[in-house]
Amino acid sequence: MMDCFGLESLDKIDRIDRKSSSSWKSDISLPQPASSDTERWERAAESTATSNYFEGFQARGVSAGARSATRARLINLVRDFYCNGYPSTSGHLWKIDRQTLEAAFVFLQLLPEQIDFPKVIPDGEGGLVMQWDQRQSPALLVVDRWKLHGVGNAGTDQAEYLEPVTLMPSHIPPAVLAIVA
Amino acid sequence: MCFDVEFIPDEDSISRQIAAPRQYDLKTKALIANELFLIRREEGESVNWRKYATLDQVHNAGCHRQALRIAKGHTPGTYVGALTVLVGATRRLQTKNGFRFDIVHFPTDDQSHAEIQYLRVDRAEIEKGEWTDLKGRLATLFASQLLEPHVCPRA
Repeated sequence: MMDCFGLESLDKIDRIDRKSSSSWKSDISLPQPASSDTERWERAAESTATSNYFEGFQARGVSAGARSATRARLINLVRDFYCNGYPSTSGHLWKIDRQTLEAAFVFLQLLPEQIDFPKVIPDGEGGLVMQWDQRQSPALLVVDRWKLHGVGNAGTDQAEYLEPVTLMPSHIPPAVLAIVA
Repeated sequence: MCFDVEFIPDEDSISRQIAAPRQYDLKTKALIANELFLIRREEGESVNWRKYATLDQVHNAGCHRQALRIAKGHTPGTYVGALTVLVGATRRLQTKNGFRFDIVHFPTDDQSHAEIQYLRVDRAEIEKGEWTDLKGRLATLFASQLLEPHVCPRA
């Protein structure tokens, strides 16, 4: 379904994204697979833009076009974590699994309009961390292949650790929606 | 040189070296909490035990690391300073199920080198969501401190 080349549907999103968001500059918008480990490392080390530098996470008062553009940026970033990896603070290159990439893509497509987009970062074990930290009830989700590990009220005494659930292509599990909504 | 490994008491301090742009946004002058500790369960994360490193020595180590990255041809992170916390505060962080960290002296050629390590509870394996929550608590603790800023001299 997804690879670093030949992603017609995603490339279409890329084009829309570049048109609608000329202010966003990043060296990771169009990832291509690196030809060697050295090149892979160097390229990843240069990818300093993460979703922490994105704007437009808010769901309310945002046009559908702007929301699509933010989604496209996130998907491109996640795809870059799969294709080229992301250097950890201890010097390792972290990549996400292919199934994690696919599940994250589905999740971001299914995320209802009234819910903000998360910040994303690899977890170092093939999974992807999604964070909703700018809110009263912070939530996080680890996408580990097709399994979702959710935490409500993350970082607080009221933290709630959900049983891992499988993401289906048709919908986001209600328990997960409840903590990220 | 070989240094003895010592127990690090709760009342001592540890410092974490911070580099931009990964961990610090130079434009907004804000820490980026979710990039402070990108660690896996099986590996420790380096810090400096302040018993064996003054703040100036921590800064010098940060600048040295920056210079090494330049020498290796990697895109350098710009060392911008250090965050310092109490060891006890770090050890007291825990999830609802009791998973937490320990601070372990891990001298290399640097006697101040220590690691923040994940502490298993009764051999139980921490689940991914809870582990990520624990890392987040660690990042929040450090990010709540004021950055002790530093500008490295030009090479």
